[in-house]
Amino acid sequence: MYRSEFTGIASSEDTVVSVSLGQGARGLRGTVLRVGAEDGDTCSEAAIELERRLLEIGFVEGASVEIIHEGFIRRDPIAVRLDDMRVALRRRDAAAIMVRVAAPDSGGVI
Amino acid sequence: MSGALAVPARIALVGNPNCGKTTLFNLLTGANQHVGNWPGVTVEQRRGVASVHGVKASVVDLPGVYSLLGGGGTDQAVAREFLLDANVDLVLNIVDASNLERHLALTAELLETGKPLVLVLNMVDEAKAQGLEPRTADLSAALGVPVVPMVARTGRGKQDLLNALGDALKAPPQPAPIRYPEAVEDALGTLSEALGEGGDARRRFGALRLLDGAAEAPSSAVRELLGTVRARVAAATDEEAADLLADARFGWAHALAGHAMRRGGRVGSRQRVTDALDRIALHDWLGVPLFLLVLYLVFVVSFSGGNIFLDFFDQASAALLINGVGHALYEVGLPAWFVSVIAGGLGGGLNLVISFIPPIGLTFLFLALLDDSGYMARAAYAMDRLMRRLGLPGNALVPMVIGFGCNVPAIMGSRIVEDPRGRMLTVLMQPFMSCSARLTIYMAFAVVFFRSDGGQVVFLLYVLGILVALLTAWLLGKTAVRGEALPFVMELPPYRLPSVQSVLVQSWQRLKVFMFRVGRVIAVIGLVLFILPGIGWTSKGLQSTDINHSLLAQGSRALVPLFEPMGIKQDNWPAVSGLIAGAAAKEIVIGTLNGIYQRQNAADLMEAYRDPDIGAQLRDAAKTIPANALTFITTLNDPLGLSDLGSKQAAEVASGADSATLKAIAAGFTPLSAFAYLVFVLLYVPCASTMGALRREVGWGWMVFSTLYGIGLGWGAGTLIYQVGTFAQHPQSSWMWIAGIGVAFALLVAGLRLYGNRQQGSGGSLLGATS
Repeated sequence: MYRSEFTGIASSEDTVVSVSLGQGARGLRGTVLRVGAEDGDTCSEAAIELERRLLEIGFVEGASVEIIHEGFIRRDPIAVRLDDMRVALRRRDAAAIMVRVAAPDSGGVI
Repeated sequence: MSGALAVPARIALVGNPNCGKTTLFNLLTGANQHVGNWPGVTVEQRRGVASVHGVKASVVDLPGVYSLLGGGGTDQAVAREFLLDANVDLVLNIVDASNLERHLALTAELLETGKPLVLVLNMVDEAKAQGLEPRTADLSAALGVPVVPMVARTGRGKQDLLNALGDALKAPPQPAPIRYPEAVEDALGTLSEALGEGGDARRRFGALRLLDGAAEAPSSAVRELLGTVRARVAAATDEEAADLLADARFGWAHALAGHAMRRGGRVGSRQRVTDALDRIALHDWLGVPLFLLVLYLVFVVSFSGGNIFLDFFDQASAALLINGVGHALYEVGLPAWFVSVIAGGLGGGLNLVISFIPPIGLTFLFLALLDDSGYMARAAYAMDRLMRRLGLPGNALVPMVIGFGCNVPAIMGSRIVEDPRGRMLTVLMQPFMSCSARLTIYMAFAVVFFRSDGGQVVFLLYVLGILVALLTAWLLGKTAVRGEALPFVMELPPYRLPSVQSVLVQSWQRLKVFMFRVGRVIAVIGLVLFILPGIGWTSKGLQSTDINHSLLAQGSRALVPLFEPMGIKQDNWPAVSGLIAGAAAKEIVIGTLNGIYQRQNAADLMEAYRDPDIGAQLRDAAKTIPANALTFITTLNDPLGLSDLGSKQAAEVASGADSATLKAIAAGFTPLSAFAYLVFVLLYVPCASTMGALRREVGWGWMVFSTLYGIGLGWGAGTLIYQVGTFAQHPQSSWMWIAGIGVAFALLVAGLRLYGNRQQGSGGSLLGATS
């Protein structure tokens, strides 16, 4: 449900690039920009629950993330380094996390 | 359990998953534990008794949670209700020192419960290895509660913790909750007044959850009020109330963690080790084979390794419980029928339970080891993609493989699946995995009918079991147990050397449940099965008879017509007796066939009670250990022992059937009916122990469903095989049978759909109500 909203790369300036974590390739590094849909959007209960889980486990604004592993089939699920910990999640769920990419050369999108 | 006369103090142990909570619980309570379920849900509840300076205190291990506010998870609801409702004297909050900021987010919520609190700063060794220096005194001063640095895994700091607990129980430390911005506090005050029920802390917590959006408003009046106060907060601060709450908590945790931890800046060796190991365990395509290899090893070592001691446990307990008890009762001069019922029936049942202990205990041990080391989370990651299609998380595969050894630990091990729906499906899959007891039956038949193709036939049966298990999960997931799979977001904890004490205590607790809860069922059914072949309905009423006229024989003869469509003829009634016995335990199918085919009767047993040489029997039992150890080492590469099928003699030994029995089997079956019989054996009633485990995990209703479903599926599959195989002889009746099975299956699917619709329509969760 997030996929349609956050497809691809949104770039406001040349240096600041934000991307959905669900679309990131291995090696992507950055910081969490926001989790979930924009304020005011009507969300399903499942989407709110997912957002809550992501926040609880530590995907809070400003946390550093890096995709360290990808699964075999369709590169799914992914393993992410989140600050000092590691988290496994499915791309579908990771799509709710918007990431500010650290440097242009730090990995791209799939 | 308590030695004191007064009600013992109640301590609730709370923490995130993977913070060493269970290890600390085991450290505090030792073997003094009770494992059960939280009322109404299949979330494991562990209680124990800790001795705090000679005073007993009851410790409850709450499920590991990241937050208490959320609405969804059963774990959270259980922990929240317990903390707010029950008579909790002290909250023991354990946090990971190497990950302090995130763990303090839960502490912030715990402060809102208004309970006295003691904070354990666990894994300070890991924090130091990462270059983090905790300032315990500063943290304690800032929180207003005692803070105890510990390494729960090694027991370091235990004495300090006991001191702190002792002091805190005498003079409860009252921490101050975090202050939210003024507008938010006003809103919380208004809301908690509107929530009429419960104490102050409960109402404030309710108000927090409402404002946070984590809970539904209990009434339309409150819903309206919620809208008003939210608007008021938004007007005053220009921000959403929920955002302000989260910001306040995370900001508090961030500031406190920064204040209490000095960062040295080195990357810890544990992080490097974890990264290195993960490069293999989470590798694109190595992850899956590695997982299969690990499971294969667990399987081989648990069941082949367990077999080293199985004969010892079996023979030694038989010597003591059957012959020893029988001899003692006989000497006292009790009547023969009583002696044989107690010794042969009850003793025999207990003997069966005890002989299971080595493989099941080892399985639990390895499961605890994998769990404690941190690998289980990697297994879930590696297998996630394959299991997702069935709506199951990756780690649902672990119990299935354990199921090859024994369905009981598999069903109990299904608890590693977190989401209730996935766990339910995982549990219901297990009875179709070919356990090692079924293997004894396969072996006996394979020797007689399939000789050189025996290996393939046995393998086929294993594959059939897996397919039926997957089909079951898929079918139920689409019909009766519908629902969204939970999002898969899981922490991958750093690898740790498992704590010996924690692993031992954990596996012992599981084994205890097996022995006492499940064992009771086995012992009772063993008793019934002992009596049935010995008594019969005669003209003079119920009397002891020989086996041919026994209730077992009479019942079996009456049931044979049901099995005729799968090729069992009237004079082969012992085959049906074997099935009846197999409903108790698959191990005794061949034993029952032995007994009946050889016309053995109780008189022989009485002979054994007269003058048993128990010492010699125990010595013989002990001798099986080195002999089996040698066999284990030589057969490491062939855990199923399929190569044995090449030599008839070895296979006879492996299946435990005597040659006379094998000859009788050969006379009673054709290869086709034998295969149909084996398929039925694979799928029908899981054994009594498995039914006991099913009842425990998913409740009576689903246990009955699983049993009937298995019988129906087994009968359908067996009949289908026999009728298709003999189609040419009687095409017309075969067509009828095949069509009938098709119709029955369609009805089953329709019924399951209807059930699922009704569950969804009523909005009731079938997952919550399980006991």
